Amino acid sequence: VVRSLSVTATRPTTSSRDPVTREPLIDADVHEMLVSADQLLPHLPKQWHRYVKSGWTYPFFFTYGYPTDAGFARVDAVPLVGPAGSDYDLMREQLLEAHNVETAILTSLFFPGDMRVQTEFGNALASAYNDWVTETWLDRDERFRGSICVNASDPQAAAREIDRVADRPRYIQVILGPMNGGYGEERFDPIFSAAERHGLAVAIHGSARAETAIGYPEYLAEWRVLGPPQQHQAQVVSLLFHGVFERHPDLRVVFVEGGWSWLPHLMWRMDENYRSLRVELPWLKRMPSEYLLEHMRFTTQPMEGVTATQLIQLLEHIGSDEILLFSSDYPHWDFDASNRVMPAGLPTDLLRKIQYENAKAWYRL
Amino acid sequence: VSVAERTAVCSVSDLAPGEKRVVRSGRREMLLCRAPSGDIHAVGNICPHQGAALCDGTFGGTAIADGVGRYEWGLDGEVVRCPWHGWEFDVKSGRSLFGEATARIATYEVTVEGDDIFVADTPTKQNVKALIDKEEQ
Repeated sequence: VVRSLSVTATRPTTSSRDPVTREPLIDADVHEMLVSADQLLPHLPKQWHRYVKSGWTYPFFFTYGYPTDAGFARVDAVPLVGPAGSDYDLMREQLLEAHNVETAILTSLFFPGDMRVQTEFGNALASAYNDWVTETWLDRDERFRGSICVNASDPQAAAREIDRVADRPRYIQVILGPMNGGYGEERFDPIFSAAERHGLAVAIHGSARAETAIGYPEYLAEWRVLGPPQQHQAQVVSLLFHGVFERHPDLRVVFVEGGWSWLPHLMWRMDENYRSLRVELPWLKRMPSEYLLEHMRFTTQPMEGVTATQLIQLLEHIGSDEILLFSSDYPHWDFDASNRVMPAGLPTDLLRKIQYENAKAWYRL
Repeated sequence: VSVAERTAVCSVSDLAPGEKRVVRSGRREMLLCRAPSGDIHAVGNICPHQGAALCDGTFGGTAIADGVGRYEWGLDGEVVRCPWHGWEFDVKSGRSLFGEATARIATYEVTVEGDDIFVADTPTKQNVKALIDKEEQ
């Protein structure tokens, strides 16, 4: 039972009156959820059952949840039982059908590396979660693609888990929470080597557990402005300056749900500091922004309220119209509706790149 | 380079290996750098970034790496480092070590005859365009 989520009395349907979107869509951030941690029991070795049965619960990261209308969820996406995202039929209706989703990339919100659990329990939870997702979601609808759950705080075990799961159909990336230190640190190399070995991308998803530079602010609105961009910016710089892409030239990293309009600022600032402090980073062979454009992508949601002209100008500053991948973040309350969220007047070919072609090429779908 | 297009700027004995000094050729100010190996290079004395005089910076080697986290000392006698923001330039090519083509200093051909060091009056051709681009910005 999730404390912060309300439960509606009747089975909800979508609250949108818009017709079904016609253009095919690739959605790079869709959250499938457990009804409860008990669902992991069939996939967990016996020695870990006692922790689940004695009250360890999911989703723990909601400990940071500020009170809102329906917890983290769209009010109309909360099913009769379990949290939003745990009901396949509702997801099919509200997302897959309503937005003509050709491919929905499942990103969970299950990051054992961020949990306060024993390392071995965390490893077991990652395996159990992958087995549950494979069986409950990926095998159920061919539009789904999977993100391999790992315990990032144990990179060796994470690499073994990637090796165990990677060859299953429809897994296209490994997903990490942002809370394990800078991923540029060499200790995380086994994860990136495994992703490279299997041709998988690596996604880094924002987490409500990440503090801002001034800690946890008083209001949710403050945290939403600062928290996700700050955690992603820190990981972008860590990966680039620590030379991860010199060690892993085939690695592709996707930053999910942390914004993107700050990219010009970060790229200029990284390059300017590299010009002055190259002596610290002599292993880099190119400007940081060049590695970024080649090795990183950013999902759109929550879309900032830019005009078409502003969006095009930002992409010109960034230097690429391939950098953005559309994401809805279904079923969360800050969901972006594919047919409405992009600014009016965006050229059709650019819209199609953002909502379809960029992800198709990046994920080799 | 014909004799008419170069200027005698100082004597070899005025410039010990590993040292640098400012010289003038016509209206141009140049930084003359003598590597420990004895090779002598002349570059423009002004950093293209914000105009600092490179003669106030350092001349010598710098950090290179044969892998992430594996620092080595290298390029000895090939690098000038700006006294302000630390931009580094290869004195042989004039190129910045961070590699951007637009960030360059001029290089001037150096010839030695006996004890006399001559520096060409105009920049080596490869850098003329970069300088013009910079001035037009």
